Amino acid sequence: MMFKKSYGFIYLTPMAILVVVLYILIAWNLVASLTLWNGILPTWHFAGLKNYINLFTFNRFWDDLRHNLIWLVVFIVPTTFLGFILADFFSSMKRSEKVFRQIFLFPMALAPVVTGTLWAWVYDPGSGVLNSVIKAFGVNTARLGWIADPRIAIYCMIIAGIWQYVGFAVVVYLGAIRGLPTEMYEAARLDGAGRVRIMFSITFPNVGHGTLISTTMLAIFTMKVFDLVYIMTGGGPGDKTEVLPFLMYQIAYSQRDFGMGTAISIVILVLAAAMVIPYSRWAISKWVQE
Amino acid sequence: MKVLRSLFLLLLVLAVTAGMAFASGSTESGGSSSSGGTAAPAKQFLIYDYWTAGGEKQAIDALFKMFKDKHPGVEILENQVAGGGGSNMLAVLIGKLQSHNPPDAFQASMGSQLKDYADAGYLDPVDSIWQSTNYANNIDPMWVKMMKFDGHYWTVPLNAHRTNWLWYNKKIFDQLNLKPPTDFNSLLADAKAIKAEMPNVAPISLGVKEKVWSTYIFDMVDLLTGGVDFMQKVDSGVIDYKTDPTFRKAMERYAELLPYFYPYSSTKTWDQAAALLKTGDAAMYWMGDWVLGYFLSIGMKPEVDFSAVALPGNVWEGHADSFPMPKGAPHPQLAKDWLEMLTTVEAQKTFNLIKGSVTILNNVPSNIYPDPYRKLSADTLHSGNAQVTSDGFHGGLMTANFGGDLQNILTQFLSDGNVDNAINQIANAAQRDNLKQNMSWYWAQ
Repeated sequence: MMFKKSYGFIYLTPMAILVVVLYILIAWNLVASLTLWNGILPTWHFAGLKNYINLFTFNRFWDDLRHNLIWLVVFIVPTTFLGFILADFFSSMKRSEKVFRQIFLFPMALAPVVTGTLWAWVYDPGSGVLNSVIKAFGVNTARLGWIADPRIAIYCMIIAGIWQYVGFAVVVYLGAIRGLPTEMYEAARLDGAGRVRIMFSITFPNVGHGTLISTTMLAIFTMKVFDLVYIMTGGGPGDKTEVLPFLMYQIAYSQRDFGMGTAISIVILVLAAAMVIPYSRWAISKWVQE
Repeated sequence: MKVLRSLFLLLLVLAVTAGMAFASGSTESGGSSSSGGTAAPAKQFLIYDYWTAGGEKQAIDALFKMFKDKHPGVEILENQVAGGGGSNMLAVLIGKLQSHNPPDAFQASMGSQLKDYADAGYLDPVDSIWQSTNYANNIDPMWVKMMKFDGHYWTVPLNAHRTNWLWYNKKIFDQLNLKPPTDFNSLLADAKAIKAEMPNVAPISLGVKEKVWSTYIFDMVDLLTGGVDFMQKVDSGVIDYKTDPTFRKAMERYAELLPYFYPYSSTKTWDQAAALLKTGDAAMYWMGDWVLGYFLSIGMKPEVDFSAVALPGNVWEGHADSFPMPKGAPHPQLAKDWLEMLTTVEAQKTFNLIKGSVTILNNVPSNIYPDPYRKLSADTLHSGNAQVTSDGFHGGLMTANFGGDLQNILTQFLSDGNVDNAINQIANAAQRDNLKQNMSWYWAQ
């Protein structure tokens, strides 16, 4: 027993080091956000909350936060819903389930840079796949700008995100559905419930933990989304697809205002924590109960 | 006892991990910081640049070859970081500079962005190189102004890119019997004529997926509205943006051009926007002379498929790429040799012929260039008669911080055309970024 406990500590050591480093960096970031550090000059002039005041009076920050919230709603709900429907569908399959699962999981294996490049090519208003197909049906595509249209650019980008992450929701839900007792389904069928009724009245309420995991993980993704924006639009048209992580990168590295850049990173951290903490509390309480 | 044993094991693992980290760290620093130590590191020349695209990559490779011919035992370790006009490279380089572990050389520009490095204490002056080669007397005074701060020269420029070029699709112009513009009004008239005659052709190409190119149009309308001095004042925050009538007029002119830009500019990079001239989807393009290399690489023929006109013709606007001397460079003699090589006619000819730019040195005849555009650029720059100015963002006439804000405001302006809002936002950004004070060095000289 003693042998096992000792080795338990040893196995935990690398992770403990990582966690300590992580918290040191967060603290370092917090301190930097209170300075007028421009990234190049080694001197840090303490500025109190100036960066935060500048940030909260900066229209671009609020625009970008709004775009993050659009991602949160428009990305998570369809991804989760679609993931659940597909998982339910696949769970009733036999051998072909493996094939379909791989197909839907494949986009997850792609780097977001690849996804972004691929979808930018699909959406290109001039020579993109989408407009070429529409043109083939004789429709005038002159007004179909997709990611170049300020009104719909962010939604077009979110579709690319859904395409990439729906496989994740499928896998989470498949695991959750597999764990459900079959007796419930037999009883429901005996009572005459149809497939759709069973899906929404029996399966969905019983895979709440899957929904929680899926939505939490996807929410964290929306707070960190950067690659798709950087590759597909560079934040444009104007700043219509710009999100907070992109703003952070721009301010810190392109504009060399690391003080404000770190302030944005702290805001992102707080927002992400607000999403993760409820999930963590739930997961820990469930673990303790077990 | 159990606890003690666990604690002991934990400490042991920590000690081993820290030891390994220390060992690897000291090996790395030993490899890069000992200039006169072991033979192997002394033969390595570590350089950072962001020339990764076709043409520019071959250009720097040609310089490496030249350097290696003179230093056969030296191994050049090149770190290329593409994109962002150097900001991506900065993201990588900054850690090395701050930890006093600089490379032997790194690509830089001029003006305010160079001054940032100098002010931070990351550079050693290169006065001796400028003096021994009499560099200041062989180049246009504008370069000196943008590279000499606090009485010292801080970098060695090697090429000159002209940015006030309007490239145009010659076939479209011939077909519509249009004359290349000579001022803003003729530019607008040409754009209107193209739109009227060829509704499916964008009169002016633009790609602002990298937002910086919106500032090039900004410089253009400022130049064509108020001239060189005015453009410099706008970029460096000297005017009162909210009340200056010339600035308002320039922004109104920018707004007048909006219906004539390629409508999906936000999806195009600068080279993709250039390609629209080849496909005939666009007729004109305001871009620096690096686009010439791109046109040639996609099979366009000068004076057949495309041509160019400098606007205004008596102004040479542009910027240089340069290499400073990093303070504490691990191999200072090699770094000095590299910089000295860059000042030579031979190196500048070799590099610029491939890169698509012209030499900084005035004493290189313009007939070395195979195309009429660079010949004209070199003649104008080296004549001593033209008004020579650096451009706003890449030329360091504005701070990086303001430049970033300006790009964002202007790309927004491209989609809404709201002049009042743009002027207010530019004024606010200049104030927030303390532009006037941070650029005061420019006017103090």
